[in-house]
Amino acid sequence: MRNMGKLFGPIVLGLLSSASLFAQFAPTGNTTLQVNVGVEAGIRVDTAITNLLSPSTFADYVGSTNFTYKIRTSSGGSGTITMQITSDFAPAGGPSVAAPPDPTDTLAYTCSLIAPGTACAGSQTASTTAQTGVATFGGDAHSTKLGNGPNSVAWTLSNDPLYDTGAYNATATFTISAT
Amino acid sequence: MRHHNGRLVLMKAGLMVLACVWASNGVPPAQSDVVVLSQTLQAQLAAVGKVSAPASVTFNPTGTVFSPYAGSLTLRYRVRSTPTGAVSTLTVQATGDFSPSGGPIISSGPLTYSCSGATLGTPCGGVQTASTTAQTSVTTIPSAACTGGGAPCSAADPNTVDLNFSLENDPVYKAGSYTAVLTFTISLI
Repeated sequence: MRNMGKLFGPIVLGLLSSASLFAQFAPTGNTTLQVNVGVEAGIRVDTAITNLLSPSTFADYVGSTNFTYKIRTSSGGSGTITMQITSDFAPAGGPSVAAPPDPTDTLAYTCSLIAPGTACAGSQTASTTAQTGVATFGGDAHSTKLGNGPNSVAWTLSNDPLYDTGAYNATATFTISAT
Repeated sequence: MRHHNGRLVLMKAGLMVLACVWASNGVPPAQSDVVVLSQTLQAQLAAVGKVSAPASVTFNPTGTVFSPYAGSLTLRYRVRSTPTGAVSTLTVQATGDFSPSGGPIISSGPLTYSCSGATLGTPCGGVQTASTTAQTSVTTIPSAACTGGGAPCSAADPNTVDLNFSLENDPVYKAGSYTAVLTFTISLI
């Protein structure tokens, strides 16, 4: 009997609280919508094939790759766009990023970017072993809903007479990230 | 002795008279009796409708980069509409934009929904855009509609309708958590 008395209070409290968990029927009803908006970033390369052309005899090969980005960074975060040559020029006998016929032969690039991104400074040298900078973003950076562009990377490839004549292809991979 | 005998005679005479009266007029009615009365009962049943919504709905991304957020809920309702006349409605309206500021702005139209599976009435068609300034359709309920008990009312009790929401994932939104309130209203005519 004494134990039943001790249980009375908790039982009453339980019944009262359980009643509030059920949505009551009424002329109107409310629902709270909840969404967590996170940091996100995406990139679209708009130039499927970038043709590198030499404007004059033994002038360096030049060409441009366009891209569009979307980004949302947090107020204390940041973002980057980097690039890496993930597949060196092939077939062999022509230009090479990893092992050029002459150590002064390079594949270099400069960057052009629409705000809020900041373009890489000056000329950069492409690499097959590491990602190299294309753009940076600060905290609370936001692109438009359709994406910001066109942005571009302008390539310069040494025109070494040592190259065998022929067509050569390489793959450049762009990566965007946000925090 | 003579005085005593006279009183006795008078008593006997009175009883005999009473017996004669009862005999001629019948035995008088008992104290308890049965009375039958008729009373007309009248009940005025008005049209009525009530709705029940879940406490909250959480939106989640539907895919990869900047994919829309999606969420869904099932609304419950009970109805007794008027026998004749115009249709009644179940509607929804956002009480305000997402809060805090910096997130989605409902009044700009990023929040849409579709309706399906109404067990009484017709769910809204196509894709609806939620509004902070007007009620938008969820379900239309015909006249002479009622919930539960089978024909002529619905089999289901309560009735339900499903809403599937889509919220744009605009890069313009600041990163963070946001909430908004939707109010569902059932209006009977």
